[in-house]
This record gives sequence, structure tokens and C-alpha cells, in this order.
Amino acid sequence: MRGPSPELRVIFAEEFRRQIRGLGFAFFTVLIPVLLLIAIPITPVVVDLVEGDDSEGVRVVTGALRERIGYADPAGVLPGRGLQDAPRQYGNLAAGVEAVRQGAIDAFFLLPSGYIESGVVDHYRASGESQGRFWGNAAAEFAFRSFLTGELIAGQVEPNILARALHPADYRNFEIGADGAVAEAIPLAQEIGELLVPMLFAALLLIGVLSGSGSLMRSLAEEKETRMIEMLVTAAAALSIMSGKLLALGLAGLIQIAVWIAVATFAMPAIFDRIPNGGELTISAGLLTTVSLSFVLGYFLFSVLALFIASVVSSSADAQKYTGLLSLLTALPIWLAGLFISQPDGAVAQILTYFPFTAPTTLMVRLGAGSDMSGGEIALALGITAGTALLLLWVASRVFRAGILLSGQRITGRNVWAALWHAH
Amino acid sequence: MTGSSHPASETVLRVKDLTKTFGRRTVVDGVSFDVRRGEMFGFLGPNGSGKTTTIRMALGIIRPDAGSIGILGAPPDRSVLRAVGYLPEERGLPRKLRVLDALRYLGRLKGLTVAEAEDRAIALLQRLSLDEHCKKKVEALSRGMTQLVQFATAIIHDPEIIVLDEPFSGLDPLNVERMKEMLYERQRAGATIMFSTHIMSDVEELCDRVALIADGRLLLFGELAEIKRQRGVNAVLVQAPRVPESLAAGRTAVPRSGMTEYALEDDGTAEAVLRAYLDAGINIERFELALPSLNDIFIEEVSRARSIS
Repeated sequence: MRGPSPELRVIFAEEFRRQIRGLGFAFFTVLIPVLLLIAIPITPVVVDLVEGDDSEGVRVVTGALRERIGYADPAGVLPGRGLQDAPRQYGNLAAGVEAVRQGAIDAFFLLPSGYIESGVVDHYRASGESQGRFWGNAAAEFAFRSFLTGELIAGQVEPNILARALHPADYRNFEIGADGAVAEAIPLAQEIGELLVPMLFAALLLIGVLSGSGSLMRSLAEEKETRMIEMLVTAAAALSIMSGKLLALGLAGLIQIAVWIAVATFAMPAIFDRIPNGGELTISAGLLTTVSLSFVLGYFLFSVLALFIASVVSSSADAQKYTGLLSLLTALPIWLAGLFISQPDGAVAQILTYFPFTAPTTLMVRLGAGSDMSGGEIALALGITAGTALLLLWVASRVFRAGILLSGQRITGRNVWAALWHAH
Repeated sequence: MTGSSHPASETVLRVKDLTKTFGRRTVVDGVSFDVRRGEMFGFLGPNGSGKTTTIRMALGIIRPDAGSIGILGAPPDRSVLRAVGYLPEERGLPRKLRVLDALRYLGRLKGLTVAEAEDRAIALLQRLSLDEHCKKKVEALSRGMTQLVQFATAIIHDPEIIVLDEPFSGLDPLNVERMKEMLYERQRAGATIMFSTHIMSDVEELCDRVALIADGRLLLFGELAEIKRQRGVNAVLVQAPRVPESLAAGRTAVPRSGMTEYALEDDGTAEAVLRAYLDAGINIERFELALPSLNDIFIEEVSRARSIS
């Protein structure tokens, strides 16, 4: 069996070297792991901010936040139990305002007389805060509200009732089949996993297309523009040039994905471990296979599309414009994720599933959203993607050589057709 | 002119009845010529005459609609094109590519090992006084330097045939001389060189044989000296203390390099000019028959072809 031609190997090596030395490759390869690794220590803080920590029944404010909040109770409605985790209590408004002014606390709440009847609470904070102002204020108000809830009913009910009132439900889910059989529903962690992983792959495909296919298109267009491509085609067959570039992009993409998956394999369980009741992140093998196939075929399709565009485009500046088209096609289903999550089998979702350039991402998003697509529908969508990629590869290899002459011309259907006609 | 010392007349590049049409426009129309081993061959024509398209077809970059091409006796496929070095007309290299990387890449594609490609790249860059720029990206070079680097990529693999499309355009006189010296070196080492141009003085200086095309058609092809001889003497140059009155009145006398040039009209002969001097009793210090310049031939042929078409 004959191996790849020496020219293909040289082009592959050169293109691979260019890909991995590109700034975009390094940036995106490192970005995802960095974000995931940052997410590990941040997760508990975020969870605390959102949910609070009710492990001791009435402790509703995180240590960090609790220390930055103060209150005064002229209305005299709080029992003042001296809880260890309670916000700082001040005697009056003036003391609280001074504490804010001196930076001892970030937020001061005053329960004015008539609070029980009106529900009005005065919130004092320093002026001129800019970073995270909205979220900081919202978090402080949320934390104080939780504290108020606990304190208002404390003493009215038993401590265990109080604790439960602050965290009233951990749901278990059951599904009733058509035959009346009851079965436990998919665990929350698995549901999250099955939503997250396809979405993550869709986002990775978008990033891969932006960084890899985009740069491939621009570099080939530049080779055409500078006429270097004419020197290349006297040294290597058009198919070798295209194959070398595609394989190099594919390998660079695989390395990128491998790094992301390796880090995610370590980081995602660590993140879930830090979510109370987060459970174990799981995803079904079938879904993982379908999502992986969608990713690979999508990456292949967009790489071929990039080569095709570069074959007929007239300059690297024009190629830059078409990078937007690539990202639009990849990102469209992600933008529509909200619609797909609410209607995973709606008309828009179905149409985009069978349009080749939106099929890979739409499949991923729909599967993540819990679509009831059959195996046949999935196979058809993947088949359309693969078929289009192969057809486009054939067309691209036909127009590639003749397309060299299109430099300096505007891309039109007519000159693409002419390029196809004049091709070897 | 070099007056090639290569006795062999083996044809290394032959195009026969080459035709190419884009849409309704015939860009190359039945062009035939051949290039012999070891010669410097000038491929002339005005802008847009079809030179670049002919070269692209000759090197298999685009397919002709009709006609045949032979390089070293074979069709222009990859195996024979390894023996060819090519410098395209509109030049440049990818801006982010490093100079040494560009040379190594093209050298490797032409069959050199990494070590060979690097050694030759460095030697060529030294020869072109560009070695200090070898680690720089192309975008950091001037246009002329980029052109020299691309010239180096065309010859890095010591090709048997070097095809250069407008090689001297955009270069300053110093770099033109540097490139010409390197072409002479390659020719002495046995390479065959074909270059296209519309600068006639370069052709007169460098080439043994030429082909001239205009509007896609071959107008002239052959030995440059023979083409000139066929045109005949079209002027005489005389060096003498003064001009005879009989000639000053009736003929166009143009001072040229300390001599006087007389264009020979249809009814005039060199003998008539000589006789006028002798009859006037003027001592002639120098008397030369002037062959037409390539520039004159170019303008005449192209103008005639265009007036006919």
C-alpha cells in the first residue's frame, strides 16, 4: 500500500507547524482549561451566593458576605439571638452609616419602625462603587433577606422546622409511563451533564471553527494573493495541498480537543463535587457518541468549507469577511439554544437539523435540550453533514487549481462555475 | 548578450499550438516555441499579451484548451516540475512566514532534505546579502528584499530550468544587477533560463533567443541576432567633423553618442550616405551600419499586429 506522498507530508508538517504556532491556537487551547480550573475554587463561592449554606439551619449568609453586612433594628422585631453567623448589629443608623463610610462593611440595612406593617427596609451603601455593583447589591439584599426570614420565624417554630423552612425541598423525580409504570427519573446531575456536555461541544466547535478553519482560510487566501500557491502547485498536486492542510488542521484540532477534554475530565467532577447535592456528573454513552460524531463531522465540514471559500475568494481580506459566515453558521443554533431548550423538536429545530451547515451544532443543542429525535433522524442529519462535506471536498479540489486565477476578482456564482469548468 | 557556450541544442521546454480562452476572450492563440538547454530565453510581450497565461500553462498550473507542452520531453507533471524553478509575476510571500522557513518549506517541497534546504537557504541568503534577515518575518522586509527571497525560493533546489515571470520589475538597479549575476552563475552551471519581460534592454543584454507575443499570438521567435539581421540595416552611424550640406537638407540626422545617425528611408542606402561625405571631402573617422534595436522591432511588430487585428 502506498503511503502519503512526500509533498503531502511536507505540506502537512508546515501547515501543522503554522497552526500550532498561531496565536489563536495557543489562546483557545489554554483559555478553556484556564476557565475550567478557575471554576473549581469559584464554584463553592458562587453556590453559597446563590443558595446559601443552611447546614446549621439558620445560617443563611456566607462567612465572607456576612462579615460585610450590618444592620440596625429600631423596629425591634428581631430576637437578637447572637448567632455566630449573623450580620453585624449596630445600635442605630448613624453607627451603621459610619461603618460603611469607614469601609468596615459594604452594606447596612435599617429596619425602621413600622417595618412589620410596611415591609420597607432601608439599604445603605457607599457611593461610587462600580465593579460588580449590581451583583454586589443584589447578593447583599438576598443574603439579608435570608437572614430576616430565619430571624422572623425563629422562636415561632421548632429549630428543625426552621431549618426545613429555609431549605424546604430536595426533589426526587419520577416518571409515569404510558402503561402506568412509575420509574425514577434521570438524576439531576445526569440531566445537567446531558445538557452541559453537548452545549460545551457545540461551543467548542464554534471556537474550533473560529480559530482553526478561519486561520486555514485566511492563510490559503494569502498564499493565493501572494502567488505563492503557484509555486506550491508546481511542486505538489492540488489534492496533496488540500489534504495536507486539512490533515494538519484536523490534527491541531484534535490536539486542542484532547487538551480540553483531558482538563474537563479532571475539572468537571471537581466542580460538581463542590455543588451541594450536585451528585456525580454522568452522560449516556449513546449521547456522548452522537455528540462526538457531530463534532468531528462538523469540524470536517467547516474545514472543507473554509478551503472551498479560500479556493474561490480573491484576497485574504475577502477571506476575513467569510470567517464571519463560518462563525454565523456554527453559532446560529447556539443563539437559538433558548428556543431549542423550550421546543427541542419544534419546526425551527427540525429545519436546522437537516441543513448541512447548521446540522452539527443543532444536533448537539437539541440532544442537550432533551429532544426525542429517533436514531434514524440523527443518522440522517449526520449523513447530510458527511455527504455535504465530501461533496464540497470534491468541488473544492476541482476549483482549487482554476480558482488560483480568481485572485483579484469578486466571488460570484459565475466565476466559481468557470473555475469548476476549467478545472483539471 | 552572453553568447551561450552551450553547444547542445536539446529542447528542454516546448509548447506547441497552445491556446487558452477565458469566457469569450482568447488569451493565448496557438503559440508555439521551444527553449533549448543552457540558453537564456526571453519571452516578450506588452502588458496583457498572454505571457503569464502561457507560462502558467507551460508549468501545468492551468490547463490549455488546446496544444501540447513538453518539459524535458514529458508532460508538465510533478515529476518533471521538480526540475523547474518558478518565480511568479505578482510576487510576495505570506506575511507571517519567516524568511528561512519560507525557503526551507519550498526547498522541502522540491525534494530537498531539511538539512539540505537549510544549508542552501543560508547560502543563498548570504549570496543575496539577506542572511541577517533570515529569522525575520516576511512582513518586516522591503518589497525588493521579499522579491529576492522569492527568487531564492525558486532556485533553492538548483533547478535545471528556471522560469521567471517579470523577474526584474520592482527591483532597484543594484538588486537587478545582483539577480542578473546569479542568473549568469546558474547558466554557467548548466541551467536553462526563461524569463518574461517587456523591458527590451534586459533581453538584449541577457538573451540568446526570444519569442514575442501580442494579444495572445506569437509574432516573432528565434535567435535575437538573426531576427535583427532579417530586419536589415535601418540606419547608419557616421563619426566625422561635420555633416555634408546635401545630407543635412534632405535627411533626418540625429546626433547619437558623438556620431550622427541617418535613418535609411525606402529610397536611401548606406552607400548614398557614404558618397555624400566623400563628395563633400569630409574625412570619415567611423562608419557603422546600425541594426534595428529590439525596442524598435518590438514597437513595430506589436503596432503592426494591432493595426491588422
